Amino acid sequence: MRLGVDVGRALHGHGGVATYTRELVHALVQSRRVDEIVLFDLDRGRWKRAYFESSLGHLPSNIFIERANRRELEALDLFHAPGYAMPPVGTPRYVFTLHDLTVLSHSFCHTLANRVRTLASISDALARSATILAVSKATKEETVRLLALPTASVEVVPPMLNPIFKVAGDCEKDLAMAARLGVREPFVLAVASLEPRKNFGRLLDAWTSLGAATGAHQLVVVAAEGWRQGRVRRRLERMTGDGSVVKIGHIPDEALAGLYRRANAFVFPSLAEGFGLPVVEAMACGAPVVTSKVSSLPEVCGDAAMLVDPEDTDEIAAAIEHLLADRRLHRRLRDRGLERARSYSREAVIPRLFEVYRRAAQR
Amino acid sequence: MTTALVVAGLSATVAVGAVVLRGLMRRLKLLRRLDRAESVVADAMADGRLAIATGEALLQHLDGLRRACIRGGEG
Repeated sequence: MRLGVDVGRALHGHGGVATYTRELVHALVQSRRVDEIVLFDLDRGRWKRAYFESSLGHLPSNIFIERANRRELEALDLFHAPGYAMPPVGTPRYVFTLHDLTVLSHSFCHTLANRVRTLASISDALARSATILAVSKATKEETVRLLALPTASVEVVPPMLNPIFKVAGDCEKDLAMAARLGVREPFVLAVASLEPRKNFGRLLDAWTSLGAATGAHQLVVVAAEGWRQGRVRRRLERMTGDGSVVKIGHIPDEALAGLYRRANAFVFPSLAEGFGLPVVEAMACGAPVVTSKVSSLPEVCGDAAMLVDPEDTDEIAAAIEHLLADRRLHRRLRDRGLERARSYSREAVIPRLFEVYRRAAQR
Repeated sequence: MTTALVVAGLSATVAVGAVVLRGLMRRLKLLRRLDRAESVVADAMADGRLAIATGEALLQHLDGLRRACIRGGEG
């Protein structure tokens, strides 16, 4: 099989879609189940191998980098579009990853440009009879409901977890890295991009309301820049000034894994997720999780996290306080989280992905 | 003094005009993107590649976005 994959988002961005795409490429390479993989950059049209390798690491010789022109695209058996971009022409067989439909269900969380781009690209994929690959059952259900699709036409394959997120790490190195970032222990960690859907406003309200109940804990916020969060950003700066919060921008996965390992709790009170990869990363590193009981998160976490109403600040605060105070609960969630995270390993997910590829190629 | 005021006024007008023009161009680009998406969906519905119910749902969502674009702001 000659498989084409658009990796534009992995080359030019951070966040969930970029992480998903990067991990997809690494898992495909590792699986050795595809004869030839051709990578494209549909975002900016780059085609220099060195440029791709600067983001994705060394690529073996059966991985080709090509320009997205008719000749190259029509020579493919299957094209996987994981970044909301469809090629202009090409093979009649496509797999299109749908990360979420929050541009429709939570439109107030998105910019108009983002809503137009995403829906236009979904329209393009459906018009070309692409196999739609939803990252969770919740996303599938929402897609079927909002786009009037037959249930059988949407496949579910979760994202794969980068193996760098693991509980075993170098303690000295993690501590040194945390110190370099200005983090002191103990701390509670939050990781998400700065955008309305991630609900940072209520998280900061909850943290403020806890006051002395947080003990000596700091709230460490790892947040890449997003959109429409001017007020939250200013508030984060103020709280950073008084020492209750540490705000860190985008950091490499290795450093992030170290923070997950050192965190006493991980908080992710998102208003809606298609999957919620940071939750699985935290679980894989042994951080007990407090997250939302909405959209995909209950399905992703099972019984391995404390689930709260993301619109109820008191409930978020109570869950954090409970988790920090109750060592048995802390240990139980940590153990269950480690077990849960295993179901999102490359080894567990890649056979499901190839089954979807097989069916898509036969359509 | 008067010349300085006129120059300042003109500069402000040009700056505001540039911002408005940029907004309009941006919206025009989005409207063109929506036009293309609607035409792709309509064609796919017409030749049976896309189920009518799905096509209609997409067209309805695309139309909502078109109205948001025309209204301006972030819809």
